[in-house]
Amino acid sequence: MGFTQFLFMLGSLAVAGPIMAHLFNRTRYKRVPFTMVRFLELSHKQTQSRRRIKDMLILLLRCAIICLIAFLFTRPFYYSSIPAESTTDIHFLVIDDSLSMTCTQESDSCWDRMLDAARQYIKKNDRPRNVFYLYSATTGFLGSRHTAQSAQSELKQLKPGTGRTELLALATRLNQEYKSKGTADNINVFVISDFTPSFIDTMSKQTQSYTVNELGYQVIHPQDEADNMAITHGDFIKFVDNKLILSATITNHGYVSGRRLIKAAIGSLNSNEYFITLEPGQSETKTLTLDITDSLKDKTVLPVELSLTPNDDLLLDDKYSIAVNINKQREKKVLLLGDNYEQTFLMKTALETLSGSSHQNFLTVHTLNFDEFSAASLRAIDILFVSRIHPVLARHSNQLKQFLKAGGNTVFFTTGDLDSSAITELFDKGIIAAAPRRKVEKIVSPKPIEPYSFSDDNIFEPAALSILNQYKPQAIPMWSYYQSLAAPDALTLCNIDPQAYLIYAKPLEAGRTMLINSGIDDSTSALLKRPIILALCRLLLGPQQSISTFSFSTDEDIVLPVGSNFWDRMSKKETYIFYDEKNKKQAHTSGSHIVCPAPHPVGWARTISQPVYYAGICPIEKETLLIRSDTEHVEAILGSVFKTTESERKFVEASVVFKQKRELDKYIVILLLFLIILDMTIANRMQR
Amino acid sequence: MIKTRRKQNKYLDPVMLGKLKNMELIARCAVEGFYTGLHPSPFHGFSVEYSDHRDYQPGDELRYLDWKTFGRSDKLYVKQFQQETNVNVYILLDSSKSMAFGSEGSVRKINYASYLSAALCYMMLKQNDSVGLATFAQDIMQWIPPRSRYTHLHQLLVALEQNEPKGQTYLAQVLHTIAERSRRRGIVILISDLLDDVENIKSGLAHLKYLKHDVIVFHTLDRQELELDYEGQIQFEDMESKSVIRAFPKSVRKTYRKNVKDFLDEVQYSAGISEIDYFLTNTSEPLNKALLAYLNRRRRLG
Repeated sequence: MGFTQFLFMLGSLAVAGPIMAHLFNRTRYKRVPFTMVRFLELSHKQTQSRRRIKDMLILLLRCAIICLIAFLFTRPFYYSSIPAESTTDIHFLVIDDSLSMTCTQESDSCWDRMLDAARQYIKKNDRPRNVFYLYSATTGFLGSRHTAQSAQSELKQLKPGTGRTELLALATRLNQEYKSKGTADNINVFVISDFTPSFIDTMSKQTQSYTVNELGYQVIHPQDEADNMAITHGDFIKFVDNKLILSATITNHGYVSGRRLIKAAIGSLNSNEYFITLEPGQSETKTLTLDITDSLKDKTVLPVELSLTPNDDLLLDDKYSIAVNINKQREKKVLLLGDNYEQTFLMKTALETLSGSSHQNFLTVHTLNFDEFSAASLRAIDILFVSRIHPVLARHSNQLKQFLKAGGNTVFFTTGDLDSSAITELFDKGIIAAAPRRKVEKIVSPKPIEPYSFSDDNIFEPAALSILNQYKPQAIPMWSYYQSLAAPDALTLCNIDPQAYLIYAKPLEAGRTMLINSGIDDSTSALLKRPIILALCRLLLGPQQSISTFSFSTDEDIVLPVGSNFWDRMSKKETYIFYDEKNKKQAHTSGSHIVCPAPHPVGWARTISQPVYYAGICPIEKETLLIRSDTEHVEAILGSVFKTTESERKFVEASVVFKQKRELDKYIVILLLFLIILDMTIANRMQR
Repeated sequence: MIKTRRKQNKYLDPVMLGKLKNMELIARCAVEGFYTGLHPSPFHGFSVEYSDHRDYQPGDELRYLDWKTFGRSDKLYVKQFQQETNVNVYILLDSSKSMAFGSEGSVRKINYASYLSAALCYMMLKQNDSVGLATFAQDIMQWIPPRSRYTHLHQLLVALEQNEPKGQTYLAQVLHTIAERSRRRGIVILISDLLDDVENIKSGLAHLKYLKHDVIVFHTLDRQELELDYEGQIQFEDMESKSVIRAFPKSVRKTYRKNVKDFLDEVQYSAGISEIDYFLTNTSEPLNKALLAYLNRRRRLG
């Protein structure tokens, strides 16, 4: 039994009324002088016990009436077994078509058994009025209403999905059906899955629950203990001496120990091989080396495939695809100069994060404190980040100027108190783009960059400037800034007040220098969170210094940096990404990237244009982990997502109970009337 | 006939009588009304001394025809006798507090009893019986010795008018006292609600019977005392003992009626054994029943 408005049950607290009235009864009696009181006393004694019983009965009746009224407001209902012919049952068949369901042991396939279970369920519920929805748990695709026959046909079209389990479409349709269903309609959900940890995790993250009449499930496990080792991660470490160094993490996702051969390959070019033996649940990482031929060096992206042989019960996780962009640019060295470790750490983190590279395969970052800084520090670096304008910089102003003239880049922040003599020294020599004068301490936000104010300037890369244009510096709160004097040839960006800008930049022969009118501490949030600084980093590092490996899981959007020139080469501002000869999906443009929304099949995605850009598509993490979940856990998870309307959830395995929701209103009203009449009768007899 | 009955009822209705205020008038109306209802009267004259003749009227008893005169004159005459007082009647009127009870629509029991007493006095004195009156509660409050003069009626009626109920009923003690005072055999008429212990009542009445008195008991009760026909929640306060009981009359009515009936049955049974005429008089009923009862008894004595 259930309640539509359970809160009204609180109304039953009103039962305290008659109880209090009974306990504190102060009835007003009409005073009558009488003579034969002794007979009354005698009669009173004789009827007292009966009267007390009646009193108590009346009290109970009145309490029951109040409770029933409250009960009536809760709109109770229950489910009763009804003849199947008279109901319209709406069946949502949630089919776990994830990769783990492709597990095959000899001739036994979990996929086939899952289809059999679905067919059996449909067959059992094959009645003229019944409706079926087939819900793909991984694609989130919910087909139209099916009869039993059409549902059987639809099952044949089902293929393993690659997305992550989500219930949005199911939830929407469930809610629609629930609102429009009649009293004789039942909504049943039946889940067929192997209930792997990935499936359970996804289900448990559902924040909303849905009311159904009946919930059932069937677990599909491999017949025998699964033998499944998987490549769970692959990465590109570095490219040195024409050798591609890769890492591969292999995990035993099965129930038996396994021994496999791991190798990497680009086409027919193979890496060294390792035999790897793992116990269930064990994981190990191996480093693989591929010798790159000259012909491959010219390719923009190299499709590297890691693979395990021989095959096990689940094939899809035996390969791992990574597209590698070999950085052909010279490695850049960065020196971070600050007062203390915290400042340099902030700059380093920001630079690494915002440059989009954590591999340091083209950025070598060093940090120094000001007291450690010397002219020699500038010899082997390309970019110098300085947390504040320190006197030591003035002492080495000549070396700094030479550094800039030779093509070096400098970035100055305005942390703390500035040394005016150092500022003058550096400004006069053109090392800083502006001279900070007066500190203003108030919270401000810079104004947006004027779109075309710098379009012809050659200080910044046009593509980076166009990206910078899209950002909103007014979203950056600044706690303080300096009213500054800009150099005559300086470019100013993001106006703060008439005498202050956020960014001052100027060239100095081959080099560029930039002053960010913000403390490094203030900039912490900006550096780490605000995309404008990403754009600034892009200005310094160039567009090529971006993600160099492209590997996505099946539920991730593919984002490939193709550069601004990519679109110029295209006849149309659109393209397709191919997965195989029959499977293609339209990609979208986003700045210098192409984006293709998830999900994707496992394997390779590639552009059809030249040069070809590859993206490796790998199974979702833990998707092929074939650990069985215990029944209680499964029931708890399912029960939290699909609330059955009965107080006791009934889980049925591969069977369905037909029940009809019946409102209890009329029965309660009848009972209420009966109790009221009974109460009136008894009270009347007792003159109450 | 119907008109007669109505007229009779009118004069015997205690409520109607209560409006007359004057006790003598009440007595006269009651008795005259009673006689009218009984016309032709079979009760005229109980003496043995001859006084006169009168023409025979149809309905006169044949035993009073003067056959000798008929033989001489060939006319029917009825002999009339001079009535003689030969019976002392003691009216014992219960004037305890409980007699003050009167439910809505009825006269108080004391009023009813007074009307009845007055009517009886009037009737008796008209027939030259000696009538005495005793009002009592726990003890005798007024004692008027029996006399047969008609002027005695006034004394009796004044006593009835001035009588006010008070005190509790101790019937046995009163009856014993009366028994001691009334040495001469006569008729004792007890008008009471008998709200005393049955054994006490029996004891007192037995004493009177022992002295060869003819005892008539008019057990005077109000309709509510018999029926307990109240509605709602009532706090009953005993008029004599002042005890209080709260009850829902409807819930105890059935048991109450049974208990009262048991009591009445017991009293009646005891009276029957002792050859005491027992009449239950309901104050909402006319007085004729009581008067008729007396006349029946008086006739038997005739």
